[in-house]
Amino acid sequence: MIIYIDTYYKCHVTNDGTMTAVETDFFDGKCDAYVEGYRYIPHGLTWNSPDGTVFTGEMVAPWKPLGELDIFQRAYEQERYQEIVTENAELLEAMAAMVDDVYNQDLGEMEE
Amino acid sequence: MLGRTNAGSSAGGLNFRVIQRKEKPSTGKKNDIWVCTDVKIPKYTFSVEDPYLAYKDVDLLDGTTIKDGYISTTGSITAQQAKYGEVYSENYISVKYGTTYYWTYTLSEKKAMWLAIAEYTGDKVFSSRIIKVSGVDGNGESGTYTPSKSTVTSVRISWRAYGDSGCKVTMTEKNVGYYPEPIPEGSVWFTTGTRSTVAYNALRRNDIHVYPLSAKQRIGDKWCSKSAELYDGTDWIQFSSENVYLYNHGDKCIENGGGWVAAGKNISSDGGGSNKLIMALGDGSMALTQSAAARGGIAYKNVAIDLTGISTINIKGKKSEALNNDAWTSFNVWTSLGAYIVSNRAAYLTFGKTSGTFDLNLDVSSLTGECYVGIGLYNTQTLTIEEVSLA
Repeated sequence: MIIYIDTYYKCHVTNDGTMTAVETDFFDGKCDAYVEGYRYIPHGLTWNSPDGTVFTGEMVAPWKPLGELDIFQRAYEQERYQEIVTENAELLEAMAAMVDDVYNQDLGEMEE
Repeated sequence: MLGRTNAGSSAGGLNFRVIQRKEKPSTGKKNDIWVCTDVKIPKYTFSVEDPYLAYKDVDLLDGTTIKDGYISTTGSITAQQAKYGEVYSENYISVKYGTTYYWTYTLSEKKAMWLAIAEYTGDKVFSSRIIKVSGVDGNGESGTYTPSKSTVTSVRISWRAYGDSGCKVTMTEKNVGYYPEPIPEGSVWFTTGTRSTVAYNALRRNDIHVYPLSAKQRIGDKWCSKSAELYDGTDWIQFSSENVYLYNHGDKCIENGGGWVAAGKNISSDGGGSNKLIMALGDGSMALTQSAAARGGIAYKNVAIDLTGISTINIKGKKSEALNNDAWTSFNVWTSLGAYIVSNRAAYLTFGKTSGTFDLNLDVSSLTGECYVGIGLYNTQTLTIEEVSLA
């Protein structure tokens, strides 16, 4: 997926016009809040943290507490699960209606 | 173990002393080791592990030499001896005052047993005392013995196993090559290797040098890394920091996250498969090789590490040749080990493609709780790790 990084290498899902687009599969299946809790330093670039430590890319690490990001991700996955359950129920209902229609149609033709 | 000595003094033939105060003195004597300790080092609990001297030969008074630092005596007794008398070990065992010895015996079946030690000064018996009496329910016991006076130079073990025709008794210097047990709080432990930033002369004579890698102090029930420096006659030279090491120039740092384990693991469901890494523990480094093309594998600490309060993992090493798959050659933090290298990855860094040394940091400041850490390799290539530390 395509993400966008700012000057601090923090990840974003939308570009405000000042960011750099990066393609990675690390965030596949992750919700927006999870993605935006991470820092992505591309290969060959470096980031100097406020305490002076130098981090060289490629590095991917959370800058928000991972436990907090996991909560967002679990809620997102639960929501996705409910959506799929609802979609399945609607699909089953539509299929049942179709079967009924075909049955009634066949029955009508047999009575004729 | 090559020495047990009072902190701050030279004893037992060891030619160095440990300074335990918090503030480092501006100067010192050659071979002084300064350890920035939180807790006062207790008397007689300062120990040094040394791969060369831990397993020293022991000369027995009867002229024989027991190799590998293992003082042992074994004997069988006849039915008549079992009925009427005791059996002495054939050898006199050299002992040192102030040292604890560990003894153990095993019988071929459950029998009553007593074990005694006769202490000698030269060839004269100083005293004889029973150190263990067991009832009929046991066929093995162990315990410790310490020479009762400084004039005791050797001992002989005697025992009687009532009605048993086979008995093995061994005695060995306690703590040889291992942490002391039980471990008094404040104890300082030096790990050593085959190279270091500095070396010290371990003995007053013979010029045997020891390469200290790290200093640890027992605080509570944990060994904590400590800053330590050695005075080489001119300057203080640091060889240990308060960083927690997961691998340190040949030291696998088993006390932190257990040993390093190699396994086969595909990079992902899109990868070509898995093949166990070859892990070669060499002279001060650990070479990891993936021998199969388009196959993945990992080398990881086999116990999860609590990263709470840790901000950075630092990895040092070298690539002798350019990596052919830099995207998947990575240092990883996993919340749990999954089916693939990419499974449950919370953070990672890659080592880059070009050959040469590397000194890389991984930001783990937002990770808490227990995580697995390790290196992933995909496709045929070799990566050499020299140091992994937490800060």
